[in-house]
Amino acid sequence: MIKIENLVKRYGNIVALDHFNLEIEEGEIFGLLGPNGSGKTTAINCMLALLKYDRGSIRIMGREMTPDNYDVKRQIGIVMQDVAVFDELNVHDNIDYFCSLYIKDKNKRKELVEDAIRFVGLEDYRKTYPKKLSGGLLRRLNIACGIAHKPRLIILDEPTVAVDPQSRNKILEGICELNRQGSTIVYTSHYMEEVEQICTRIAIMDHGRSIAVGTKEELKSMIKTGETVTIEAVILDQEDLTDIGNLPHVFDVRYEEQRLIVRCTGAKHNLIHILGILQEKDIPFGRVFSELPTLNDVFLEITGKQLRN
Amino acid sequence: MTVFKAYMKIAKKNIWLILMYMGIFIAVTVMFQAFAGDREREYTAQSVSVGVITEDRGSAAQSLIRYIGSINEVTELSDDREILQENLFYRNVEYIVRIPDGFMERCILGDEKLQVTTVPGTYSGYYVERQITNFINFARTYAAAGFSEEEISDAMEQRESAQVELTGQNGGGAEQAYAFYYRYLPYLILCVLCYVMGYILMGFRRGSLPDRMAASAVPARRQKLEGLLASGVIAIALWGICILLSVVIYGSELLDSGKVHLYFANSFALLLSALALAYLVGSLVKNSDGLSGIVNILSLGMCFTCGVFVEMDLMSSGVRKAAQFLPVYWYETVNNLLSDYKTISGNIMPEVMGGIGIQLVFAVAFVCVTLAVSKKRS
Repeated sequence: MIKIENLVKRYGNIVALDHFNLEIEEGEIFGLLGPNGSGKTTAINCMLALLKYDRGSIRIMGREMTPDNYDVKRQIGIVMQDVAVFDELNVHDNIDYFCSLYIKDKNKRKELVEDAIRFVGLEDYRKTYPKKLSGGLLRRLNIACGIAHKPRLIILDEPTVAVDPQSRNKILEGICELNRQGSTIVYTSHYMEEVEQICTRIAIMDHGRSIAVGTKEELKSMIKTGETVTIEAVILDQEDLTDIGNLPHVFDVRYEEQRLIVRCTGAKHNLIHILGILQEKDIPFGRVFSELPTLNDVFLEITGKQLRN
Repeated sequence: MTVFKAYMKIAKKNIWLILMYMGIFIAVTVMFQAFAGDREREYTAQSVSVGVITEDRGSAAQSLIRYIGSINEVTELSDDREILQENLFYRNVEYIVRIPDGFMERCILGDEKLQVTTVPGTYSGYYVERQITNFINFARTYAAAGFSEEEISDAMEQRESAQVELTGQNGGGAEQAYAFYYRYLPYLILCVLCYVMGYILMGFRRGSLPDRMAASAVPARRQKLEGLLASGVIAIALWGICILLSVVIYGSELLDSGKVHLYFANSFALLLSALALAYLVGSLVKNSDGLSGIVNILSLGMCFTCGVFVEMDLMSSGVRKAAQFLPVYWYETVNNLLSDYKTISGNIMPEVMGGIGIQLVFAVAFVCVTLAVSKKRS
């Protein structure tokens, strides 16, 4: 569906995309994950031919993507990071307007607009103007405007920014439903939980490069961390920390503000071994957590910094 | 025609604004027209209460009484000192003239002056005296030409009944009512076009909409063409309404003036330059507060400096020179020519066409600036 090879985009001296490569298959929900400024939106804008790039190539649906490739553009739905609707048009008219940029047949469009309104759950707001909508409803309208023409490829650029949890769930469910209906989805976000929840494959971006690509399982298997154990309200000395660090499969021990964080490789019984030492030494402790690795851990191990920066 | 329809829908959303400015325009036109009407009345002849004591029943004396009576209110008084004083005291009359027996011989053929009494300190005495002097001078001229008393009387009657239409040197006469309408038209056109086009273009530039539109399946060129077409339709609809309104209000007075096509052409040229200016404003403003400020500055500024609200003759030469760099100045110049001249003859036509042409040049200049702004922004 999309093939990007060695894409380079510079803004003066700043390299926004540095030999960026990506391949997305039809039917995928592909997540582009990276911190703010990692080049996600630049990559999307290059894919949509909104930006001229310095080097490389972008092929969408087997064809070179250029600003005047309207056959390809007709099959793409876009949901921009900033809400892109007309304040002067009501919900229905906004969706109808954006749908009419792709669909000329009035009757067909009428059906599609109604489908889109139902899909995002804005049935009660048909005649409402965008300024009267809450942030979540406005985002839903933004999505409806992007997907009303039932495109083969839908590109969503951070569609859940500043959205309440209820609307966020509705949006994420909707994206999965669009995928089930046959659309390929490209989803960019800096919320790793969302990407983990819905994406079939993920590319992690940093400094304009794709630093890791694969399913979430594949990405997690790339790193050393198999489990992170956190124990709160515990008082330890250096000897205790050394004993814990010497446990099998433990490769990183951190102790900050009476909080113990132990990272282990993917083996069983890590938690039991750690708690065993504490019981043996009769050390009291508070709450205990055991977490499987997240994409943040993947990002942390690969780049040495947190994804949420 | 997706973009075209969106332009129209946004324009339709501003219909109340258009109606409000229509209302203001009509109110301003009516107000200024009424004001101009009052001013005209200041120059009509003023009637003074004149008392006449006549001792002569000859035709020349009667002719003088009729002449004074045609302008003033004449009361014949008896020659009683007390009655005369009483009438003057109570201001029943402001001026008393005594026509002596043998008026023809003594005052017209001879040099004797008429005996008059006036209320001290009033200007009306001079006013009536001037009329009487006029009459006697004309009568003396006729007498010198050999006219008899009766003939002088007849000649004065005819002269009195003859009506002369006072016209300006250019044959335009008093300013026609529709000239006021067309004088104030720039305010309406500038305000409505700048506001409507401003709101539409601001709408299309809001947030990431330009990117969203660029990524759509409608070619950018087509989007621009549809936008231009919609702007043209909106502008022509506004012009059509203004023209229709003038035809409805002034009817045959305007249509039979022989200059209606020039009024239409002039207003159309103004429309084009205002549309181009509105496009420029719409390309620059970022929010409705900014738009409101710019539109007010532009519309009121141009209207006050270019002869819409204040006549150009009343402005200093510096202001007039500066106003020449604004299209409304040339519109008003053409408008004044059309108003001043009853027929637009060969030597005036180039001036009219020149003014219209300069407005079109302004339109082209505004378009060029708008294109430069768009290019710089993109």
